[in-house]
Amino acid sequence: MNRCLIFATLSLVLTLHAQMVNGLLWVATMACSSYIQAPSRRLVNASYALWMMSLNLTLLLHLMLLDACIVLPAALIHPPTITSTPTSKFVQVSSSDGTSDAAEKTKNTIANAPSPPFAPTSLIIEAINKNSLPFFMIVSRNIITTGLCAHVSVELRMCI
Amino acid sequence: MDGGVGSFIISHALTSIHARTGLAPVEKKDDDSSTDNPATKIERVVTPHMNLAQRLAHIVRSIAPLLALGFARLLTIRAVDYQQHVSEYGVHWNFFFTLAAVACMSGAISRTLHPNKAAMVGFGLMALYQIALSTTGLTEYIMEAPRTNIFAANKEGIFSSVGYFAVYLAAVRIGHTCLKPKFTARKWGGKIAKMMVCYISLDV
Repeated sequence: MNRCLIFATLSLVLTLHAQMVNGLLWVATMACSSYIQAPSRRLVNASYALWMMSLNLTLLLHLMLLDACIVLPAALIHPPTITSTPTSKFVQVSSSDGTSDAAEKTKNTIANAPSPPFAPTSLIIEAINKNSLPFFMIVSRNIITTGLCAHVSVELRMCI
Repeated sequence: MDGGVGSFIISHALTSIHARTGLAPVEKKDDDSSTDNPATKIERVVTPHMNLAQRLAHIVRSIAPLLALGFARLLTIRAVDYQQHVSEYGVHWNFFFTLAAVACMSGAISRTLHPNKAAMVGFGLMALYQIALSTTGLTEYIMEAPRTNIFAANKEGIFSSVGYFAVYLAAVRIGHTCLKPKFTARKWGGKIAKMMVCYISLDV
């Protein structure tokens, strides 16, 4: 819990510029919608446009906060190899000459094991990415069941 | 639907080509330092150079599926006699045509506009459009004018595309910041040393 708070504050600090822009955007949204013209989707006036930008930037910053709390600890434990040159982690020490000193021995320890070449993501996000269609089918089951009921009722000439 | 439509345009802009590269075209570069082994030669193709005709063809190719979907939706709605709200976009317009218009304007301007300047251009366009709406009577025209010709029948859709393009440009700026290679790959690596202290010291 303590660690999570630290990463949350760190993400707030890292995205400070974006947070200030977000605050300005919300202020501009309120001012524009009350003084100039109320937001309208038909017209897409300035109030609506600013409202959309504020909403989405807020959502993005919340997601960056979650990203810092979940992904950063994983990145600290297993830093991805994108940050380093590809060849440095996969050097095989040849001990054919027999004279292996301590520096060469440390290369083959667990701490220097090859890291995954991709950036770390949370397990839930990876699970959703791998099973995207079943996830969508389960989440939007109301749409699917209404479609199924309509189809079945047409087939069976029933009134539902 | 208010939030969904605007958010769709913004998410389109966050991951667009304009946000990723969007600059003037860069020539293909070959890494000549390792020419003995052709397998290790690195080609960095950023954006190919396009003259006017090629760029027009590129724009047409990118909006063709959206236009096809828009016309398909229009035809199926008319065929099935589905209910239509003409106050939404107009008689014939739908959201696919809005997306095609935004993509067309983006394709026209993305090679000349740096993503960092896109936010200011977007806000400027938004301000100009709002001035036109408030002072020149465009609002009354869009809301109440009779739909006599084909332009007036879809006036909401046509004029709203301008507003959506302004939103698109601002979102391109955010997307450029998020999708910079330094941000995605090395940002965590650069800050790891500083945060390692916090992580270890607070290891309860």
